[in-house]
Amino acid sequence: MNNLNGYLEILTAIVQRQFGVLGTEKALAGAREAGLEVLDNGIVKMFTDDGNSATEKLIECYVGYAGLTAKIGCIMLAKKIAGKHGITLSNL
Amino acid sequence: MDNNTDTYDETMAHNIVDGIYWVGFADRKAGFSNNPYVLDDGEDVILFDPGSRAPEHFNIVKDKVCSVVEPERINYIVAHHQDPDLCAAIPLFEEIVDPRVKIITPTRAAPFMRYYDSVSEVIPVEDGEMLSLKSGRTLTFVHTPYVHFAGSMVTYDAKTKTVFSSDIFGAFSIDWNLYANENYIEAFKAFTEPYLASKDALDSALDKLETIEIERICPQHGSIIDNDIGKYLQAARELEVGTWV
Repeated sequence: MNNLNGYLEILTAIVQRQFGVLGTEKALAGAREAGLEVLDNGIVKMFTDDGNSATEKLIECYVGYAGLTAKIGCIMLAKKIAGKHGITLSNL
Repeated sequence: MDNNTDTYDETMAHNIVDGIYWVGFADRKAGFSNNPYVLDDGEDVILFDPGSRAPEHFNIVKDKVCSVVEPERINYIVAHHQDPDLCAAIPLFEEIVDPRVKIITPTRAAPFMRYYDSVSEVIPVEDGEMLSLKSGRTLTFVHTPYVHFAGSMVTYDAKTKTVFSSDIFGAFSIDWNLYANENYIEAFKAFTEPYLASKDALDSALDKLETIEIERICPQHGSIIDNDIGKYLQAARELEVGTWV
């Protein structure tokens, strides 16, 4: 996949940001619920969908847990890293 | 009311230090806490950023306030800026506090206070202006323009080296703790980065805060920071703001 490392960096950053918002346990549970293979320190090792879908699914999962604040809290971060890797997160 | 930093009860007011009480609530449904504070200095009692007027919020704060002071002793309300999550409850508190209560707010926020239907005297303060309490204790109001509203400020209590920082160092936190834990910087970034527009404004505010000897930071949202202050100041320096356009 193109930009695999870029997407892994985005997903990792989102999960680790949610450590602060949701707490470690919920953040990891949400990541796994969204289909990510994630280490206990929040590092995402693998995802199954395409990168854009995986990112959206992860954020949607966190919104389900915590509402809009979960999305507001990580959207800038995701876009910043996406920009660094030349990735367009079309639906964020 | 309790005063234990390790095993506090969030349903009760909490004694932070020498006459300063947290009287807020953790709104986990919304994803962030609201943290009004009371400073009881004997002849003067100050309520900082009273908060929301929604009954499920106001009633909690009112009960906590009344558990630590007789409300009629409150003779100052400090509104660090004009947002409703800080100020909407002012008219409700006006019904129970000293009828001569004065509202202290930054000059650029002052014109907006009357839109809350507040009836109290508003005292606009400039950057660096001080309030001398009858005991001799002083509160210094430090303007932090555009962080995040044009008329924003923080309050410094020199006696306890406490900064009431309003939205600065606030956080989004479903997993809320009264005192900042090891994940607080991420929660702080989650709240702060989307709501600040200007790095220059933020740096100006931090320049001012770095000249002050700080032992604890009491933000309006999120958790109280009572150790490793430098780490949080540095994290604030590194925030990326104003990019969500």
